[in-house]
Amino acid sequence: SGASGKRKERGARERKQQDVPAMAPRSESVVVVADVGRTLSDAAGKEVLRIAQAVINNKVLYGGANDSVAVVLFGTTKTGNALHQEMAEGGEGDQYVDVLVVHELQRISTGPSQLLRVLESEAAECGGGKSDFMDALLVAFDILTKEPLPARNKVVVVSDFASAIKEVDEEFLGHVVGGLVDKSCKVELVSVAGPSQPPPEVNSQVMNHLKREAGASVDCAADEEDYAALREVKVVNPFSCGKQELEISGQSVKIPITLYKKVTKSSLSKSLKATGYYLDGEEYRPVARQTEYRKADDKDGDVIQNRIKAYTYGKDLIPIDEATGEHLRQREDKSMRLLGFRARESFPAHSFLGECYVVVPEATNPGAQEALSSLVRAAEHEGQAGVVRFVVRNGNDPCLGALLPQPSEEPDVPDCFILCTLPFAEDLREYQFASLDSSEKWIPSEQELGLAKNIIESMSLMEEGPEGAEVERLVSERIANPSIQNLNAFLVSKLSAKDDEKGKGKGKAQVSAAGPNLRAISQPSDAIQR
Amino acid sequence: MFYDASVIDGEGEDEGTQALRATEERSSEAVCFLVDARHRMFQQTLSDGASCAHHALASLSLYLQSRIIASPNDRAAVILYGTREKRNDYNLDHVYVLHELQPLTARLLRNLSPSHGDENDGGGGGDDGKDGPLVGQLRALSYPGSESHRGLSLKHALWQSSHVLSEATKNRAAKVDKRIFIFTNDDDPCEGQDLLRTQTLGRLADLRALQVDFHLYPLGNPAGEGGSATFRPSFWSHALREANTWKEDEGERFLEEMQLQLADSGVDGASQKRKINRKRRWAATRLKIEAGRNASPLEIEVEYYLMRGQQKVAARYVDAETNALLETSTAYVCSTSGGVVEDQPTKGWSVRGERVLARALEYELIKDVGHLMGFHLLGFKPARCLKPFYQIKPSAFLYPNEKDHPGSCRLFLAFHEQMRAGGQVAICSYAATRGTASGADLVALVPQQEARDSFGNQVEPPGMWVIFLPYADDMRYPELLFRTKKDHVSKASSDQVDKALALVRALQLPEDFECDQVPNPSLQRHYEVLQAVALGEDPTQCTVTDETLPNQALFKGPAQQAALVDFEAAFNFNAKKRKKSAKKTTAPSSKKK
Repeated sequence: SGASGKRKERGARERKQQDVPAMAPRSESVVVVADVGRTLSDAAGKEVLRIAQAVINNKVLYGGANDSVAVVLFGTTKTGNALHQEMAEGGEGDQYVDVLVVHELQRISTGPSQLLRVLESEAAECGGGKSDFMDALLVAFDILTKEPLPARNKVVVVSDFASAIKEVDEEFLGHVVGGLVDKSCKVELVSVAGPSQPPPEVNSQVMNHLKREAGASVDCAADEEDYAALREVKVVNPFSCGKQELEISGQSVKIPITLYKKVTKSSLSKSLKATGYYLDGEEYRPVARQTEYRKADDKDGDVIQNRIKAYTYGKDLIPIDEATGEHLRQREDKSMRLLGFRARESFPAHSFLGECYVVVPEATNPGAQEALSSLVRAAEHEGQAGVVRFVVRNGNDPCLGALLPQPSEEPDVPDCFILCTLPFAEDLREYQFASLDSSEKWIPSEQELGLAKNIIESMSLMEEGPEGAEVERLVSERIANPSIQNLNAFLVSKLSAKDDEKGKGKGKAQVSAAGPNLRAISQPSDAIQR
Repeated sequence: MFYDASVIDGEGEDEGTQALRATEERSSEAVCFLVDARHRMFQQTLSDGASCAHHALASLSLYLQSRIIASPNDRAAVILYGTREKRNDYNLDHVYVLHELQPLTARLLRNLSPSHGDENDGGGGGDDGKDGPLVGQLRALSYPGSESHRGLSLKHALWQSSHVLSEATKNRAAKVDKRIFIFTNDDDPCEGQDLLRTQTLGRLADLRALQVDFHLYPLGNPAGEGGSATFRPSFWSHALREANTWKEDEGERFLEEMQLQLADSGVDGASQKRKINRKRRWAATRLKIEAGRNASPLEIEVEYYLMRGQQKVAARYVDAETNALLETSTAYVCSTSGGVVEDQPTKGWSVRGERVLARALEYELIKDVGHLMGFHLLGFKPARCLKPFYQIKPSAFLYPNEKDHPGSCRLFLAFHEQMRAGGQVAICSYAATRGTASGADLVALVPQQEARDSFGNQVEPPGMWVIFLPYADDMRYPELLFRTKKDHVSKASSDQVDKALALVRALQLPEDFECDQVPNPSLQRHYEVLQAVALGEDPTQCTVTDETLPNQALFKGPAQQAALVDFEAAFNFNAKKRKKSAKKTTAPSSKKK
C-alpha cells in the first residue's frame, strides 16, 4: 500500500501536466513492454519476446516516417528507468525496481537496425526478476508523458500476467485511468497464457478495469495459430471510396452513407514497394521502366509519339478519336440506387465477382445510422439481401451488387451492409458438365461414403471451447499471408545484419521458410491429424 | 496519362489467365450460311410485311454482328441456292457463292446488311415493300423456274458447303468449329423424290460425321395465317435427326421450337453483344487429403475452371497519321544515366533510408512459401462459417478429372455427397500450378449439386466452387472507425425496424429479374458505338437500354408507396450539418465563375 501511495502521487502529477492537442497528431509513439519475469516458462518467455519483437519489426517496416519506439523489459534482474531514478533521488529507492528501459523513446529512423535486434541480447541476460506489469505500464506511460512532441500514444504489454501485482486502491487506479484517457493513450495487453491459466484475481480485476475505463484491449495470444506473425501484418487505414447516398425509389428516400473497401488483396509488391536496381560496376543504381511505341510491322523504326486508341472489330482495327471515345464510355457520377430485395440464399458466396465493400452510415448523422440500421435488421430478420446499382466514384462504370446485412451486437459498432459485386451476363462463363452420377462406376459404395464421412468428421475445424462454446479454428482473416511474412523476415535479417558488415553487402539473408504460420496453412495441424 | 500498361500488356493477369486468353483467342468457328434463293423466298411475306429473304438476311446480319464481337477469329461464307445462274468452283448448278469463306470484317458486315446497296439497283424492281436494297439485288438472281429443282439445289448447296468447310480446317493448328445455317421457307424440298431425299439426308449425315453443327432457320408464320405459311416438320425433322419427336401436323410447334433454339444460339434477335468463351479448363491439379499421420494420403485429381471474371475491352494503339498498329516495347532505363539496362533488374526495397537488395535466388526464396502445387486439405467447417466478405477474387470451379485419371470421379463424389449431406465446406491451402508469385492462398471448397431447369438444361453444374479467403493482410475494418474515433452510434428502434420490415417485404424483386443475366450497360454501349463507327453509321445515334436501372414500376404500387412514406417519416437523415453541405454545393459554382 505504501508503494501504491507513491504511485498515486505520480499519477496525479501526470494528470495535471497533460495538454490535449486539438487534432490527433500523425505520428505515433509506442512503448513495447515485454515480460521476462520468473513466472514464465522457457517456451512462454520466448513467445513473449517473439511477439514483442514482431510489434517492433512491424513499426520499423511499416510505421510512419516520424513514429517513435521505446522498449521496456520488466521482471528483469536489473533496474534502469527514469521513474525509479526520480523516486530514488527522493529517497525511495524501492520503487519501480526490476524495470529496465532497453531502448529509449526515439524516432525509428535514427537506428532501425538496432531496434530489430533489441530483444536478442539484453533479454536473455537479465530475466528472472519480480516487478509486475503495473509498474511497467506506469514506466511506459511516464516515458510517453515526457515526450515533448505531440504524438498518438500507445503502450503494448506482452506478458503471461501471472505475477500478482501489488495491492492497488481504487483511487489510485482511477488516477492511472484518468491519465491514460487524458493522454488518449491506447493500451494493448497481450497475454501468452492459455485459457487454462487464468491470471490471479487481482490482476484480472485491474485488467478488466483498464479494459472498461481506459478502452484497453486484452488479447489472448494463445488463441491464435501464430499471434506473432499477425502482429507483423501491415495495418492499413480503411480506405473510403467516398460519401454518397443510398437512394430508394428515385427521389424520395436518400440515406447518407460512406462506402469503404472491405477486403483488398495484398501482395508482395503492394505490401512494400520494390524498386528495380542494376549493378553498375560496384554501385547499384535504380532503374525505371519505360514504354515506347513503334509500328508493329517496323519494329526498328521511329518511336511514334502521336497515337490514338483503337479497338478490334473482327479482323479490323477501328481507330477511335477522342470525340468518339467520349461516346464509348458511360461516365456516371457516383450513386447507389436500390433495385429491390431478394432472398439471401439467391446469393451464395461463389456468385460474386470478388470485389467487396462495406456500406457504413454517415458518421455524426443519427438519422442515417438509424435508417441503415433498420434496413440491416429488417433484411437480416427476413433473410433478405438488397440489390443495388452502384457507381463507386465519379466517372466510373455502373455495377450491380448485393447488400448483405451485417448487424452488430456491439453498441459502438454500427449496423452495416456488406456490398458484394454481382457479375453481369458477360462476366459469366456458362460451361456444361456431365452429371457426376452419369456412369455406374462413378458412384461410390456405401463403404467409401462412410470413409469420406469419417474423414470429414475427424478433420473438423470446430472445437468445443470453454463453457460449451464452439471455437472455430483456422480462421483465414486471423492468419498472416506467408509470402509477406517471408518478405518481412528477409528484410529484418538483412537490415539487422547491416551494422556488422556495413557496405560489404554480405549480410546473410535468412528467409524463414517454415515459420509456424506457414506450417498452419501447408498441412493439417497436429490437433486434427490423429 | 491514359496509358494503362496492365490492360495492354496483360499485366495483373497471372500466367494461367493469359494462357487461357490466348487459347480462347485462337479458337474459331467457320460458318456456312445457306440461303434459299428460290422465287418463293422473295414472294412469301411474313406477318410484318417483309419477305422471307429479307428475314433471312436480317437474321444473318444480326448474327454476324454479334459473332464479330463474340469470336473475332470466325470466318463466314454466304451461299445462295436455287438461283438461275451458278457461281462456284465446282460447277454445281443453282449454287451461287455470294461471299467466299472469309474473316469477319466491317466490310463484309456492311455488304451483308439488308439496308446496304443502292435503292435503284434492285433488278427485280417493283414490289420491294419492307425489304431492304440488298434483297432487291438478290431478287435478280432468282427465277420462277427454281421451284422445279428444289431438292437438287439443296443437295448441291450442301456439297458446296462441305467443300468449303473441309478447306476451312486445313492448315489450322487450333480447333475450328464448323457450322451450317440453312435459311428456308421450304418445308419439304424433296417432295415426292425419294432418291433425292435419301441422297440429301445422306449428305447431311456425312456432314455430321465431319462434326459440322447443323442449324435450320425455318421461315413461316408461327401464328399459322393461311395453311401454306406453316412449316411441316416431315423432312427437316429427319434432317435434324429429331424425327421421333415431331408428328406431321405439328407445324407450328416445330417452327416455334426451332426459332427458340436459334434465339438461344444467338441468330434471332441477337441484340446483346458479348465475347464468348469456349469451355476450357484452366489447369489440371489435385486435392491432397492427409487424413491421419499414418494413413497414406488420398489424392483426388481435379480440373480447375474459371467460370467468372470481369469482361473488359482492351484498347490497342495506332499511329494517328497512318492508322498503323503500334506495338509497345518496354525497357529498364537507368534513372541516373538514362542508359538502357539489358539484364533483369535486381529487386530492392528502401526501409528507413536503408536499401535492401535481393539477389535473384533470394527473391525466389521470398516468393517460394514451400507449398506444393495443388490443394491441401486442412480440415472441414460448417458452411455457415463462410462470411459474406470472403470475396478476394472471383471463385473458380473444380470438377473431377476422370478423363486423365479414371477413378477420380468416384472419390470426388464420395466427398461431394458427404460434404453436402453434412453442410460442410473444406478448408484448403492452394498454390496455383502456374506462376509462383502468387504464393499460397487459403480457399474453401463448397460442393454444388447439379440443377436443371424445367427444360432439362443444366443451370448449375455439379462440382465444387473454390472460394478464395482473405488473409489478415487483406482485411479492412472501416466499421470499427466509429469505435476508434469515439463517434456516437445510433441503432434503429424496434418501431423503426418494423417500418423497414414493411419496406423490405414490399420491395421484392420480380421473379423474372435475374441478377446475373443483366448485360453490362457500359460494355453494350462500347460495342454499339464501335459497331456504328465500323459500319460507317453515326455513333451519336446509338442507344443502349440500361437494364441495371431500378424498375420504377416496382416502387409505384400503393403498398410500396405506403411503405416508402412510412419509412421516410420514421427518420430524419437529412438534418445534416449544414455547414458542410453548403460548402459542397457552392464549391463547383464558384469554380465556374
